[in-house]
Amino acid sequence: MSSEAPRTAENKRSLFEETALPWLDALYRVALRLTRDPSDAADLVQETCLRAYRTFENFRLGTNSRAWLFTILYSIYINQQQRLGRQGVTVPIEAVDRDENFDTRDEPEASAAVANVDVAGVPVGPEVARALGELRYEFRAAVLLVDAEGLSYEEAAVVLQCPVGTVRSRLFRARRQLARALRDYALRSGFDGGLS
Amino acid sequence: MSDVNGHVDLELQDLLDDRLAEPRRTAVAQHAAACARCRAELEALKGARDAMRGLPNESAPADVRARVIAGLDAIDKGARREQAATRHRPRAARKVAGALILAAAAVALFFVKRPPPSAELPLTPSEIAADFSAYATGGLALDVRTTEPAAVEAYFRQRGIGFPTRVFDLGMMGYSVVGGTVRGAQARARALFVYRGSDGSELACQMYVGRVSQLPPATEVRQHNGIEFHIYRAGSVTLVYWQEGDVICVLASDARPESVIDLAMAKAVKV
Repeated sequence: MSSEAPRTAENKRSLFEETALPWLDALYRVALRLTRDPSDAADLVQETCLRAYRTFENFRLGTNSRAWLFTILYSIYINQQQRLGRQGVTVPIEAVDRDENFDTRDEPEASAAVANVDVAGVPVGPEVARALGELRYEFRAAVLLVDAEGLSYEEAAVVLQCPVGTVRSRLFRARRQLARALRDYALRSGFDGGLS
Repeated sequence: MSDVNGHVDLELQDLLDDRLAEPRRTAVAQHAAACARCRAELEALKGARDAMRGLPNESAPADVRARVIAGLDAIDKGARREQAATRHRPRAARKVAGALILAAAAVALFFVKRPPPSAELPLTPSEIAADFSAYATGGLALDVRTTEPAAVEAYFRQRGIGFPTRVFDLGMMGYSVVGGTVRGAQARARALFVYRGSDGSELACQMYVGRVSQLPPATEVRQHNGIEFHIYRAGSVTLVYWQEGDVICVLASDARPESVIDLAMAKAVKV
């Protein structure tokens, strides 16, 4: 059934499945990395899909269904976080620039090692996931959407319901923190980027 | 954008993500090539980005897909029940039209003459939250589905709800009416109507005769425009109660708690 087919009560279900279910894996990946718990991720994906289905009449067929689904998922997730008292924090860019814990000025070699870890065969997968889990959720969401799922800054801004400039600064902050964590891991693992 | 030392920080990321236009792109690239600190930072950002891109592309477990399909089935089943009820309603209404008018008048008279039911305890937050959860998971069907607040009010009048239900248009706050139903019977009848937000979140408002003062102590009480709002939490559901004359109003939702409270304050009327 084409996504251009007129929407009726009868074909709503098949149109929805055609629109939403191809993104189930992507929804689960993002949910898993946001919640860091397979059971919570499954709940989040289910709630996202059911809420999307109930509001499917508001979705314009042929537009960006992935961003629409991520928007619902993130909205549910952020409501859960706020209910738990984990308020999101908007970090001014001045604070990002002042990040004293990540100053590469004196150690370019160590930072350069991060880029080579994967090339050198160090198993960074679990370590990347762990480092990602240590980011605050608003930074984690930005880097997940843009880097892991390939959304544009503009699409991520829609999902995160913030200006594009905020996506840019969150992404910068997230990447800096990830780079620091991975650099530390590389050094702890005895990998020195071939510089010793 | 550069600091006092000429370092270009955020623009390094713009360069990495190909978001710089000429001639700034060339200027930032030249700076990064010449500045050890910025070159290292660019490499670090690229390393982090590449690491994220290298994360495994896991698939959703089969049971997640099965749960979603089962949830969709439950919603469809609820919708079919509603459609069936709607199809049968006109015929039934014709048969009992006269009786219904008399019954509605009798119920209305009952409510008008009836003293405040101080002996009847109001429904607890967990009971109201259960109604919301039943609706949200497709287990509670609406008798009437319309985006017209006046049509929902008319439906409640037809069903003999003897107090003004005030189904307001909350469009200015991004919520539209979905429809309504009546829960409970006779003196305990409750008008239940649902709003849906543009983000898909839903709110169920219930109105019924009773006294908020008979509820268990609230988690929080707030005052706004001379009205007292009693706020409760039941699992993931936020409930906000307030009194309008002899009627208890309660808004329930799993949306962001402050949104639920704001909507309750927008809807409340001092009686």
